[in-house]
Amino acid sequence: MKIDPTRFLHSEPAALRRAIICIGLLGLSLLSAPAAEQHSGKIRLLVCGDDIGVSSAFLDGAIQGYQHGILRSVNVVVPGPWFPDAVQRLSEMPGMGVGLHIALTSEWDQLKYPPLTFSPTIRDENGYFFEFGAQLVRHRPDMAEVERELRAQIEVIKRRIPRVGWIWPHMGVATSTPELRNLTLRLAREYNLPLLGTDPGIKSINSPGLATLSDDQTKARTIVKVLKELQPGTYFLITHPSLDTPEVRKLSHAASSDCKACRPGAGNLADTRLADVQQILTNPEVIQIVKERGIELMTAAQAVQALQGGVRHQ
Amino acid sequence: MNSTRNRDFALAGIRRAGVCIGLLGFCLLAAPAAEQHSGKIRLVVCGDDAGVALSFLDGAMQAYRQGVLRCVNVIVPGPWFPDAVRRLGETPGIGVGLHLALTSEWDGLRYRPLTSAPTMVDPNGYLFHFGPDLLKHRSATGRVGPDLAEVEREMRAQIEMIKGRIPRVAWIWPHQLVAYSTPEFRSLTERLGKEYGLPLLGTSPALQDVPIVKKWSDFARKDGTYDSAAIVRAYIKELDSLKPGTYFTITHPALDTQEVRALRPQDDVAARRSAMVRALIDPELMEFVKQRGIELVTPDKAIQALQAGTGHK
Repeated sequence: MKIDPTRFLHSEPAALRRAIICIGLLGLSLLSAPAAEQHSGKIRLLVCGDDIGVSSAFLDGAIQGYQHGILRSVNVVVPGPWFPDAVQRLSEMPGMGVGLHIALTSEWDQLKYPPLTFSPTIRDENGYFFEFGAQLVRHRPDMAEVERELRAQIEVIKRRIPRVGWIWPHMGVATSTPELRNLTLRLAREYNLPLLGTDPGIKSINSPGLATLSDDQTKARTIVKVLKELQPGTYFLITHPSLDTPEVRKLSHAASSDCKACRPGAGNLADTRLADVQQILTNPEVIQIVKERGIELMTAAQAVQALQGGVRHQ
Repeated sequence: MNSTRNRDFALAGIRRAGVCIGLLGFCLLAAPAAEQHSGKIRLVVCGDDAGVALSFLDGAMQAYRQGVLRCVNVIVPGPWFPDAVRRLGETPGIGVGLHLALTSEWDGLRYRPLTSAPTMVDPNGYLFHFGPDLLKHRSATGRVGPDLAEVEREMRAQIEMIKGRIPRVAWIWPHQLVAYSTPEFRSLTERLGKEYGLPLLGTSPALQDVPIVKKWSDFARKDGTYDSAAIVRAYIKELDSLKPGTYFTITHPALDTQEVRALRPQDDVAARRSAMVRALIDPELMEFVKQRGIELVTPDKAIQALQAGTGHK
C-alpha cells in the first residue's frame, strides 16, 4: 500500500498521525514539525543563556537558572577568555544544551578578546574584534577572513564540546548583512549546525520589556504576561544571566553609557543580568505558569531535534 | 682602611661635583656607591599580573592607595588589559612595567598571543601554561620548542602595544621569568629592552630583589587562609637586615573574589593573593617603613636606579 504522508499531515485526525508515527514511516523528527505541534496544542520552549565564556559569572548565573529555574541551554562565545572554564563545567552538566554563540564582536570596554584567527580586516587597531557589528561592516571585512574565523570557532567548539547543537549569532552580527547571513547559513549547513532564529517553526520570544533595566519588576511582569498569552507552538527565549560580581559590575560599553532611557544607577550590567536570573529564570511565578500551562521546557536533545527539523525546512 | 674610606669620600665628592656641573647626568644619584653613603633604603613594591583578572588590579590598587605598593606589571594579552589602560591612565602616581608574557598559566581563563605564533601556542591556540611546556612542545612539523623569530615578533607586539597605550611604561619584567629562562630568550629580551629603552627588572645589581614570601606553607592557617600578620613580620625581618640601597619586591595581590577562585578551582590563589593585599596595607608594615625611613621609591627613581645599573644613560 502506498501512503502519501503529507496528505495525513494536513487533513487527517491526530490519532491517525500518531499511528503513522508508531509504525515508523515518518521517523522521530515529525514529532517536532511545526504543523504537528499546532494541532497537538503543545507549547514548547527552549530557554537559553547567552555570552557564556566571556565572564565566569555569566555561566554561574546560567547554572542557577538551570538548577533552580527554566533555563536548559547556553550559547558559548569561543574566543571569550573564560571559554576553558565553560568547556570544563559544561562537560560536568551533560543535560545542559549548548549552542555556538558565534562572535564577530567584543563589545565591552574593559574586557576584550581577539579573533581566533589572525585576520587583519576583522580586528580593530588594538587587535581585538570590533565593538559592534556596524563597525565591522563599515570596515568592509574580507569575507574570506570572516569565513576562516567562523570556521575556526565552529571547529573548536565541535572538538571541545562535541554536543554543540546549533549556532546563534552574538549580537546578530553574523546574520546582519545578506553576505554575512549567506556565509553563516552555508557554514551552518556544512557543519550540520542549524542556525537558531532562521526557522519559522521556532519563533523567538522577544519583548522589549525583557531587555529593560532591573530596578523594578519589568522583566518579571513582561515574562509572566508573555508566558500566559503564549499560543501553542515552539519558541526560544534568549536571556543574559549573570551573578552580581565586581567584574560584571564593571563591564559597560559605549551603547549603555549613552543610553537615553537609562536612569541613573540603573544601568549596571550586573543588576540587569542578575534580573534575568531572578525575575525570569528562577522566578517562582514563571515556574508556576510553566507548570500550569504544561509548557514543555525543551531539553538539549529535543531542541537539537526540533532545530534539525528546521534545517530541512530551509 | 682609612685611606680607602677617604678615597671613597673623595670619589663621591668628585662624583657629586660632576653631577653639579652636569657632566654625568642626574641618574648617577641612584648609583649604588652614592646610596651606600647616603645610608638610605629605597624600596619598589610591585604588583604583578594586572590585565588578566579584574581582581588582580583591584587588589594592587588597594595596596597602592592604602599601603606600600608603588607599581604594577601589566600583561598585555590579558583580557582586562583595556581596563588596566584606562585605570592606570587615571592613576599617574603608580609605576607601570610590562609583564612580558609567553605563558597563560590559569585553567578557567586563558589568553592567546597578540601575533600569529604557531610554535608558541597549545593545540587550543593559547599560550602554554608554563615555560617548560613552551620549551618542550613538539609542533606538527616536528620542531621542539618555539621559533625565536615568532617569540621576537610577539615580544615586540607586546612592547609596542603597551608603549602605545601606557606611554609611561618604564621597564620589562618577564611573567613567570620565562623570557629570562634560556640564554636565547634572555639575550633576545635584553636586545629588545635596549632597543626600546626599557630596562629589565631583576638584571641589575643596583636593584635587588627582596622576597616578601619565600614559602607560602609557612603562613598557611588550618582554615585555608594565610596569616598576613606573620607575612609582615617575616618581611620586616628581611627589610631590617638590608644594607642601604635600592631594592624591589614582587607581589601578587588580588581581592578574594569568585573571579579569582574560578581561575583554578582546586588552587588557593584567592586566599594567597588576598592575604598579600592585607600584608601590603598592614599598619605594622607601614609603621616600620616610616620608622626606618625606608623610601617607597617612586617609579622614576626606580628607573634611574635601573638605568644606572645597566648602563642605559
